[in-house]
Amino acid sequence: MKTKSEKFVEEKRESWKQLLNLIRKINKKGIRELDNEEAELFPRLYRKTCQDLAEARMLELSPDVLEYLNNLTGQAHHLLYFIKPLSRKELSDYFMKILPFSLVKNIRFIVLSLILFWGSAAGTYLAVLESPQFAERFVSAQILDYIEDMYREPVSTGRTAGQKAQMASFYIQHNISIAFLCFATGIFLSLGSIYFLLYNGIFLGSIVAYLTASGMGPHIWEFITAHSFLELNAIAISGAAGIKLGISLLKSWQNYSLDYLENSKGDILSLVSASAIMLFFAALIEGNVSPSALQYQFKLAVMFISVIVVAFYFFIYPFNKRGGK
Amino acid sequence: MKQKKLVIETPEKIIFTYNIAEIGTRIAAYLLDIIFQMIILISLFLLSGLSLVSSDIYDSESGYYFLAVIYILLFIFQWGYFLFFETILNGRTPGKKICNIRVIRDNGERLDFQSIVIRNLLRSADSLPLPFLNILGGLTAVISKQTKRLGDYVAGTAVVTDSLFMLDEPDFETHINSRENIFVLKPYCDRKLSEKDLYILRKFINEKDQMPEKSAEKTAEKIVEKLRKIYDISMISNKSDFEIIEEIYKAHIYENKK
Repeated sequence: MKTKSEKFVEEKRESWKQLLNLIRKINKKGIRELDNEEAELFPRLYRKTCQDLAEARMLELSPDVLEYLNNLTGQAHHLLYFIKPLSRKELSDYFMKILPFSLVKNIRFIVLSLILFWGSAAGTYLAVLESPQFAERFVSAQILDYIEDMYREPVSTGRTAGQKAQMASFYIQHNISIAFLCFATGIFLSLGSIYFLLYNGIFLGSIVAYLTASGMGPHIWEFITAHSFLELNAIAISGAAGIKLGISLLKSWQNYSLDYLENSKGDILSLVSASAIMLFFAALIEGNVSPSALQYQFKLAVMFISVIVVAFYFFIYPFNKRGGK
Repeated sequence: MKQKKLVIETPEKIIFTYNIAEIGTRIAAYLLDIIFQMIILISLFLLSGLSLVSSDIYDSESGYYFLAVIYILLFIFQWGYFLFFETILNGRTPGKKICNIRVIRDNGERLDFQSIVIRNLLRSADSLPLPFLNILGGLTAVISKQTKRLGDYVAGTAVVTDSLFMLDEPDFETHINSRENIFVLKPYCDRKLSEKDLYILRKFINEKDQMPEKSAEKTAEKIVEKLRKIYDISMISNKSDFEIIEEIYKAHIYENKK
């Protein structure tokens, strides 16, 4: 006599085999290579096999049958529910309806992060201006010497187009990676992000003050004016994303539920993308405009334009949109 | 080490159990991916560098453009490789594909772009304190119940085994041919064994020849001990444990064939 399990398998094995063959085919060639008939058959077979799995569990059939059905449907499941490609509509919605709202929506984190960064920068600036040797507490003497050498002459040293391109792409790689790190270390209960915000603020404050004290103020200001608004605030925004990540993690722990983390994922990502986009443009400016021989007024104008664009996209536009509803 | 399992419930209320990928497999997949990236990068460098060999690469206009391209490529590979492949290959990278592992959502939902971005952005925290070595992420994965690195925790993802080798149809054949003693034992089989018990017997009968002798004997002893609780096997108690197991399995299988 056959066991219950054996009868069950004999009765249904044909449709399982069909499903397995489709899984093989999709693994080899991708789901888009199925013909119409197969594309219709696949979800049907999947659902039928899921029913078989449920029935087999109820009947308490042999463990190898249960495992086979579990693996079969489990693998079919992630082939059937593959990642949806982003449509053009979703992409434009992201830039029109989600990204511009991210700063306002998370304004508490943004403000906190800006205070940490600019506060530490301003504090260090004033302290170092008062007594320049104070800078050596934060920045090694070697780096100070190096930077002093760099700004001894005015920055507009007539770089070639190639040099400018090289510097711009270096800044893209370097600065965006730093912003990502500043965000990612927020996982340590926000502490990593806070550390990076303070560290960058202190570093910036001491260097600018040190150079100003040694009489090279105009040179450094001329260099950083055009890109600094975008670049520095972008770092602060990535820090805000990191702080939010840490806080959501903490809340999730307190409430024994990962929902907090899950629900803040979208906001966190929007902040990081806002930061990366700003840094991308900042790098282009830093590579091409900041070191150029253009007049200072022109560099100042570039900064004002970036302020206006950021203010419009992240503040005025979302407020108007909200008011209009 | 015991196989770690991930139980998920899909939105349609179907419960699946996945085998969590071993940490060694994940390291292997990661190394493969790093090697692939290097191969692509080096071949790109060679291709673009060939025309630059004659001139001084680092102090010419074309050299600067060359460096510009290198920085951008580094950036794209550093952050884009895993993102790109996990997106288009639905939770896999070339390395993961070779190692038969896959990223899935641990809540049963469809894998989404957002989760992939998050788990890959968190790589920079996982790779502390030394770049590319994933020391912190590795430690977290070892401690974690589901072998998760930091990025997996935040994104709500898990890496599971996903292999066609796992799809062998159950086989009900046994190596017993003789039908001796079936009818003698028949009366003892009134209280049926469960399907699971039968599976254990079948598995033991089929695999005992491949097992080391000592452990086969021990397993047989344990099984017979359990059988004793269900049946009065005094009738065949003169037989060895192996024989008792075979007899009882036979008696079940051929029960109604007279």
